[in-house]
Amino acid sequence: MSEDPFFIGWEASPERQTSSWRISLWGSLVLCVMLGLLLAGLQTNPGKGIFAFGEIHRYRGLLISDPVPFLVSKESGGHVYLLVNPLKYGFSVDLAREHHLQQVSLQGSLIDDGRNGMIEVFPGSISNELGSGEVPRPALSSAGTHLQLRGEIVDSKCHLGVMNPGRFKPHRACAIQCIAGGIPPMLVVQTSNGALRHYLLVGPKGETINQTLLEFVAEPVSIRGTYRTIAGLHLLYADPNSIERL
Amino acid sequence: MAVSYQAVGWNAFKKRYDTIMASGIVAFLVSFVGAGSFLHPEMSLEILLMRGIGVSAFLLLHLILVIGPLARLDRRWLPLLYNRRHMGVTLFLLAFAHGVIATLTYHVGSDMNPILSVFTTDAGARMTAVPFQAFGFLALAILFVMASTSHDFWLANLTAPLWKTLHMSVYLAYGLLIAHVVFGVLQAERSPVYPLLVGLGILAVAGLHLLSGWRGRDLDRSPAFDEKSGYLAICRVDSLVENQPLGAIVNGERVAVLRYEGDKVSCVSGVCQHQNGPLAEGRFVSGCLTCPWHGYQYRPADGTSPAPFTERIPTFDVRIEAGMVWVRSTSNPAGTYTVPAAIDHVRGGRLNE
Ligand code: FES
Repeated sequence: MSEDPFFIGWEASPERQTSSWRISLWGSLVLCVMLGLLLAGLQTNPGKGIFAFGEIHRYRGLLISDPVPFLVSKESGGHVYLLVNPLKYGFSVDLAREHHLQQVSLQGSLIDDGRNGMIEVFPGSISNELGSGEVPRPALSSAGTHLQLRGEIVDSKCHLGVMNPGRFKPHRACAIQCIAGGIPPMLVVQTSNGALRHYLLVGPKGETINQTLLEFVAEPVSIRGTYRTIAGLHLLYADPNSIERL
Repeated sequence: MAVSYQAVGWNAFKKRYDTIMASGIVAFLVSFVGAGSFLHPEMSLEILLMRGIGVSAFLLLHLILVIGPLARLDRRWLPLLYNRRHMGVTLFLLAFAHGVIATLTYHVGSDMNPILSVFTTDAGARMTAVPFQAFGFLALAILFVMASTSHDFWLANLTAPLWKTLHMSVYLAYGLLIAHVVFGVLQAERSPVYPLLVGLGILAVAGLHLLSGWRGRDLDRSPAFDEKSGYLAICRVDSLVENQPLGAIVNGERVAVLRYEGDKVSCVSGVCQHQNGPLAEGRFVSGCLTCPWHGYQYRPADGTSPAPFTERIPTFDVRIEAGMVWVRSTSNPAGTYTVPAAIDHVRGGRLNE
């Protein structure tokens, strides 16, 4: 390098600059690779859910419409699947009521985080199944426990596997659209040992409170309600007036 | 423009410049997405890609912003400045890809128009709910305007000062993107390294700009003014280094005072016609004052680019008296010939008449 380096791009001679060009190329490659590894490696664990997008299977079982639409499967030992529609839409309320407590067959793609299953139902694939051995109706746990929980409201579809990560601020707009579209809202609570617990959120009488929850999505909140279970699903019959931002 | 310049858009240096830039970006993306999917196999590919592309754009923006002050502080960075526009266009393309993936991922699939959703869905005024996506969208719009007017065609049609002003909006885009990152992904990620790196980036951009401004502060002191003749005393003759111009401010305008061909002294505007590059940081090469940014050239006596080029910059009358260089406080129209002042070596400088 001369004492007064003055560079003129159109004059730069490729022969003279061969070594500095190689150094720049390799230097920038090494730097970029190291930055890529560092920045990718430090990301927060995105969650373990899966979404079998494009893989459509048939599911049979008992459809329950309330307090959230779900299917108690016949094949997989009474496994419970929440039901949602494609994109950012919940399962049709009318269709759920129409098939409430009926044995049905439907097609869809699996969403599963290992503990909670969900089916993205293929439109028009649902039909009644008669005479093929009935699945018993699951009972709602009778006496609920009153709880105050702290956590984050997410949409169950993205969080259980459609998007990893399907939580926190960057996902907020998506979760709002999903919950506004009828996908069951879910409270994600982190326990002291870092594990996550999930509570489906419904109103005090089991009604949907999606619209009321929209302004609290993806923010740390505290919420009170009555905890009950049905077929292994954890539900919080929440008082919308009790929600507080933390 | 330049004496030995060939009118081609591409030259060997530009190709190498772009090769290094493109391979750096590809290397970053491959290692980011590769490491991300290896360490977090469950992470959605679209989110990993969106993040990798967004981070590469953000890093590239920092590089673009620090090249200018770095080149002022140390000329060895000048080669990076030469093709900065290609970096700018690449930055826009990366930012656009990031925006498209984010919009498809987070905003498509509901009843609302996705663009409307970007602006309205996450609106809120609380710290935990500042709508970070709108910041990103506005920054992308600015980058689009800059990328689409980056060609010299627009430079010529918009005129250099307007073009330069338009392109200063990169700092607004930078501010918006800092807000986009701080109120967006930094609210989700737990590692302290990310906010630390963002902080370092802001410090580097602001610090280098302040430092290079501070180094150039001598320019801003007001020179002595001789009321009668309308000339300003700029510097001592013996402080001029041959072929290396000296910058000064004359009547609010940047000028470059140049000693060349032994004993001649001329003064021209310090603002390059191309992209307002700092001519006072250029050099006298092949009979012309040469801009440090892209090598545009001007003859010192008439401020005109050698044929076939037609760029012209204002000139200033110069005289030398009692060992001092004096420059007339009003400029001549661009391209006006002025007789260079001559240094009288015996008497240490006098009027050129
Ligand atoms: S040559 Fe481009 S700004 Fe001077």
